[in-house]
Amino acid sequence: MSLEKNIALAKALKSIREFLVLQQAQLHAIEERIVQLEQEQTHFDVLNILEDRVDNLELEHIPSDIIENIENNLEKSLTRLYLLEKQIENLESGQVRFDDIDRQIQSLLESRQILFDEINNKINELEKNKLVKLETRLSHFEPVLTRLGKLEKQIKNSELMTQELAKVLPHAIRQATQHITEQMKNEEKAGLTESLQEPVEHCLRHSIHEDTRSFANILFPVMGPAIRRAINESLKNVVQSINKTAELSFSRKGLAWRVEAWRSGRSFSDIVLQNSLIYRVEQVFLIHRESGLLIQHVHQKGVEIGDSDAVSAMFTAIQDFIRDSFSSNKTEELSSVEIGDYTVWLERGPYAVLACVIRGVTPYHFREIMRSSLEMMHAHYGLLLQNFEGDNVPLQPCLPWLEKTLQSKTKEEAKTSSHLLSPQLIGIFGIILLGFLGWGYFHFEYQQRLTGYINELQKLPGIVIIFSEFDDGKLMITGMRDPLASEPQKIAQNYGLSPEEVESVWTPYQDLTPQFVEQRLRQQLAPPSTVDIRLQDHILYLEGYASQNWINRATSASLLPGVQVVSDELLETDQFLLFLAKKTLVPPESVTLNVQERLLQITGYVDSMTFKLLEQGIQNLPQSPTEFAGIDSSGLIDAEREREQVIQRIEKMKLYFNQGMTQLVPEQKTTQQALLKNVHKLLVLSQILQQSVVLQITGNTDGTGSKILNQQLSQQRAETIINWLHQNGIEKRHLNVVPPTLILFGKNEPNPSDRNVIFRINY
Amino acid sequence: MIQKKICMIGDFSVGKTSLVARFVRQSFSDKYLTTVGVKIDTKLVKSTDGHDVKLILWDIAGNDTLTTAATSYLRGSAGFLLIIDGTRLPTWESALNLREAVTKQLGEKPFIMLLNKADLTEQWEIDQELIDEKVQEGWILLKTSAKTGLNVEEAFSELATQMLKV
Repeated sequence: MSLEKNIALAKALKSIREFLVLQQAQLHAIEERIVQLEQEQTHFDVLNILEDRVDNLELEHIPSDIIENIENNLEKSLTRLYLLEKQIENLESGQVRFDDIDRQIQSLLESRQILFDEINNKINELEKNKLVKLETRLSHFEPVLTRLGKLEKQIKNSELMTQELAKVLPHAIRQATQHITEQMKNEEKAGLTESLQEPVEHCLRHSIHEDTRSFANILFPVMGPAIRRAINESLKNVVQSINKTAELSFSRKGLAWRVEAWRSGRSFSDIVLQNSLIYRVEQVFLIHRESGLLIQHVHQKGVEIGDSDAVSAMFTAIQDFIRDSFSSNKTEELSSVEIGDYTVWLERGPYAVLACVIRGVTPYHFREIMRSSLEMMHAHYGLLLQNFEGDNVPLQPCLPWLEKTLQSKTKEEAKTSSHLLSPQLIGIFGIILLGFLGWGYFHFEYQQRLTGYINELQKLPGIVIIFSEFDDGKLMITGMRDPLASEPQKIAQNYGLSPEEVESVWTPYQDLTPQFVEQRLRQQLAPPSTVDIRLQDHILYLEGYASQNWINRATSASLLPGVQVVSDELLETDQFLLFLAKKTLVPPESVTLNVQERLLQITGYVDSMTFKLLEQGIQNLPQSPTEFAGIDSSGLIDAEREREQVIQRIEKMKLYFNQGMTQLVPEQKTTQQALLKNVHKLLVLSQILQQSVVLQITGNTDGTGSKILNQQLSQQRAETIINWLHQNGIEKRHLNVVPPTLILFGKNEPNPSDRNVIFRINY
Repeated sequence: MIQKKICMIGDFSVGKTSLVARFVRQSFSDKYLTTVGVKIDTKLVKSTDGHDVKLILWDIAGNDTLTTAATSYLRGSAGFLLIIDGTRLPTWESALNLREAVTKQLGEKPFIMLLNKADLTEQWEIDQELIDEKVQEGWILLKTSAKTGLNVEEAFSELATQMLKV
């Protein structure tokens, strides 16, 4: 509503503005014209002055042409003056009009202003409430929008976001960490752990991949003690082992120490330590690893020292020289140098090298002291060591660690004792003796097993031992072995020898003894079960039957080493099976047997007795994957049974005739053909069975007419059929007319089906 | 006191060892040069701005290229003296190559080029134009003589000053 009002008001104001602009332009034109008129007025005043002067002049002193000229000019000026006066009058009337218009505009503007004020008041009144409400709501929105703007800026400003997140993140992680313990108790996967697991693993992997050295440097102070602790136990065992070995030594010095231990009643190892471990660390150099500059240097009092800086650098140069000259992969480092009574031990950290100049025999654990000191210096001053550029003042706090390594141990006086044979010593000797005995027994038993193993190997066919020896705790065997011979490792197991205890090198060869030759033949030929293989005096005997392919392969076996001749009495499988079938079934000549792809086919006609015998024989034929694959006897026919069936079919047949005629009723061709076929079959079967057969044909009539007529018709109908059969290849000796037993006659209502010929077989 | 490791670099027989011998009281025998390939001496100098600096001089056996051993010996060096024999022009070229190889190994380090054997003026082969060219490139070049001691102390002192500026 208010919008429409505002639009109407705007339109009204626009039209007023346009009107005022137009009036303003007109006013401006009028003002310009007035200015022109004022200039004209000035000219007019000048003319008046001139006129007065002309009036005052004495005309007699002025030439007449000049006076005429002046008069002309005056007339022209008067004319122009007149015109000007007219224009002024017009302008005055225009000014009046303008004033009228101005007044009208003024009144119009006043009325418009009044109208506008009224409208404005009404609008204000109408929308005051709404505006107030709107303003109130907008005032509520302002802070919200400001906050939204700030938030948007924060979101877009990634740095600010990062800062904010950095403030919150530690607290969030701390809070999440507090839940881990509880979750672990409940055997749940801790969320923080699960979330951080993969990125932390990735970061570590990446960091190690990028720079292994820096990671190693970080871990150096931690790894050293951890590794040392782990290997301490191993070292203890090694030391004990060394002590035992020392105890078992019978060197001159060792015997002397043993006597001393015997006399003093102290353990032998104590005496060894007392006599051996006397040393003095005379100088300690802490050298910057990269530059070779001396970081710190400490030494025993009274020790003559040279230019320690030059010595430090020379140490580094020599290390570099040794590494470059003798280390294959340039990573090994010089760890000690021995010169007469002096030994220089070197330990390396990532940024510094600790070099100790020692006189005498240093205990092994001194290296641990060196490592520990070096690790402590790296742990505390790693960064200073790394960035060392020649100023050693900031690294003076390292001196206490260096002084710690400046150790010395003097030889103690041995205390004598009156104990000559202490029970402890006797016990030790007893244990040593038992140990010797135990070791001897086990050694003997072990040697026995080794000997037994070698002897058995030597006896085994297919194995030839060329060389065997016991070296470095292992039995080394070199020999030749037929791949078909027994497995030496299995035999070794039988003797309780593990693969680590026996190292064998077997060169493959072929043993030509019949046993291996036959085994190899069987492996290579893979004979079927139907073949019997036998090797005798280098002759390979093959008996049985097999496929032709296998027979071909087997007969070429003479090419194999160890076989000189092949005696082949093999049959081809189908041929063998046919022979077997004939032998089992003994079929008559009318029966044909055929074997193809191990399938037996039996065809032919036999009498019932023979048929049954053959059937029984078939049951006895072997059917297996290597023998008959199948037997097809569908072609074997029981001729007697077949003949009976044919007779039955013939005797059921009838051929019909037209009334009173010997002509066959048409449309009996199928019956006729069937009859002819069966009669032929019957004759064949009879021939197989070697029995004569006669087809008796009897003609019948419907009884119309006299008896003689019907008798004649009967005879004629039978003869008609005989002729037809004869014409179709049946010999007449197999055909015979038999008159009906009853001749019908004198019937008034004849039956057409009685006009027929029937058949009987006689054999 | 500040220590600085410096290396003497230059072709064979340019006079490195003679310069060192002129400069310091030797701690080790010259045999080291032919065995280990380096000989080390120390010398306390005053930089031109008055600081005491202990120079650890690594006199590396001369060669026209950097050997593997020499590369190891260069490690951690704060500066070097590049020495040529002014009577043998080829040593100039070798020195340039060596300087390039050393810079590749150490990065940019302060160095001074010493044109040694300056006393043998009649045999001098290095053209002044070559020298001027290098001077224009900002190199510091000094004519030295181990025989007369010309500029020997000054060379070490100047190098110490240059190294302290870094």
